[in-house]
Amino acid sequence: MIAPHLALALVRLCFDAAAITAFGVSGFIACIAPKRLGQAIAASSNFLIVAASSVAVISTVAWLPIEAAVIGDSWQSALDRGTLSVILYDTAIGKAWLVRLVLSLLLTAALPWRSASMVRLALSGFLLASLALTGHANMDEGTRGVFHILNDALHVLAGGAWLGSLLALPGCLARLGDPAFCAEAKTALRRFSSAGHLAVALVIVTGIANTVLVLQHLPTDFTSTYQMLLVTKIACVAGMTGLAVINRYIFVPRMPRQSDRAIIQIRNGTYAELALGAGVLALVAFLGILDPA
Amino acid sequence: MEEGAFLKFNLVVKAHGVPRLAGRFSGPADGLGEGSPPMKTTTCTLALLSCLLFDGSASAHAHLRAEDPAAGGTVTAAPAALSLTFSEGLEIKLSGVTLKGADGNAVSTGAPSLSPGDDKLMTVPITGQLGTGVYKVDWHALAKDGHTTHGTYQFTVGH
Repeated sequence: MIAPHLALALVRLCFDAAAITAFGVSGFIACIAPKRLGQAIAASSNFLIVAASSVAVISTVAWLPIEAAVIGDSWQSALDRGTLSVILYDTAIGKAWLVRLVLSLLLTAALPWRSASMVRLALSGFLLASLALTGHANMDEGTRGVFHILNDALHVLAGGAWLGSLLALPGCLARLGDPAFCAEAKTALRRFSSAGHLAVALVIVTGIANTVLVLQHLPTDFTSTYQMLLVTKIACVAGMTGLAVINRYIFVPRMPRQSDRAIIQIRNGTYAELALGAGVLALVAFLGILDPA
Repeated sequence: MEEGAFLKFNLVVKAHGVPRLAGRFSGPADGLGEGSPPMKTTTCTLALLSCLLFDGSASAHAHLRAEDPAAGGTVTAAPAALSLTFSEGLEIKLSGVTLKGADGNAVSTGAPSLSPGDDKLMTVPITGQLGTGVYKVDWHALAKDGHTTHGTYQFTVGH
């Protein structure tokens, strides 16, 4: 049996991935893609939305007993009614859990409405932001505490928008060659580029603020597992940013001349960015259970 | 602070240095066929990369910062309560202590409470009798973010 805190990291990873997928894909459909292209991408990426909504509910439900096992330091506590009810009614984690349960159930309830991307975007946005209610921005009090929570929420949303929308990008790229969608796909790429610059900048600025608030110094002590993983995460984000810049400023300008080849290069760059993004999520999940010493 | 100042300096230098480089990729060669992208944002992004040594979402654990009676200390009169100050706010319902004498027998204690206005200070009333001797405090704490910590310290009642 795996240790409860390891299970907590895994459930957190599943939850993050699900919320980010729902948020980014819905965001791309609702805000980036023009109407017809949005509908086409919504239809072809429906399996992603169904999977993300289901995983969001399952990982949320599993979260509470695993949290109880972590607190009781044994799997026996996972279903201990006393522990569960104290967590649920008397702690901040319990309140945040209830919020997440309601939001993820609503996300699943909205599945039959395939065109309700805006609703999904809002629900998954709140789901992502709710991470800031527990993950630790609560370490500070007063104005600084509120700023820390808002900053953390913004960091998660910007990062989620960036990573999640990359999942919808290949669907848009594939339609560049389709005369029926070519113009809309170009418009979508242009908007994606502008929104992408903003999201990346926000991720970096809020990330810096977060580190300053949490560690209060540079993560340069490699004897600390936390700081080592944090530096690894930063390296992954730097890699993703590099790939995004290469995609936008080297491959995109080649599109008018060597369309097919450039599109394949952009698609491969996107997949590489997604792979690094998956690494970031795994690191975040483990950073979440470590002591930031 | 020194490092912070360096990074700020670096940021300014990059912010001025990058546009010319980035500008080479914009203009007519822009593959999207329309207008150039918001270069200012790009510049900021690239500039910020230079100080990408930060970043992260983290979690805080409640560490014991101070205790009364002090760890390893000796008090002449038996204390009426134990006070433990932590680095983070606690969930009091899932935090607490067990107090044991040198013989390993537990001394009864009341329900732990947080001091009003300070969720980092836990007070546990001692309801049992404390004679002279060494006492061991086993504490466990649940921080507001769901992280648990625990530890042990001793104090002596006596001379």
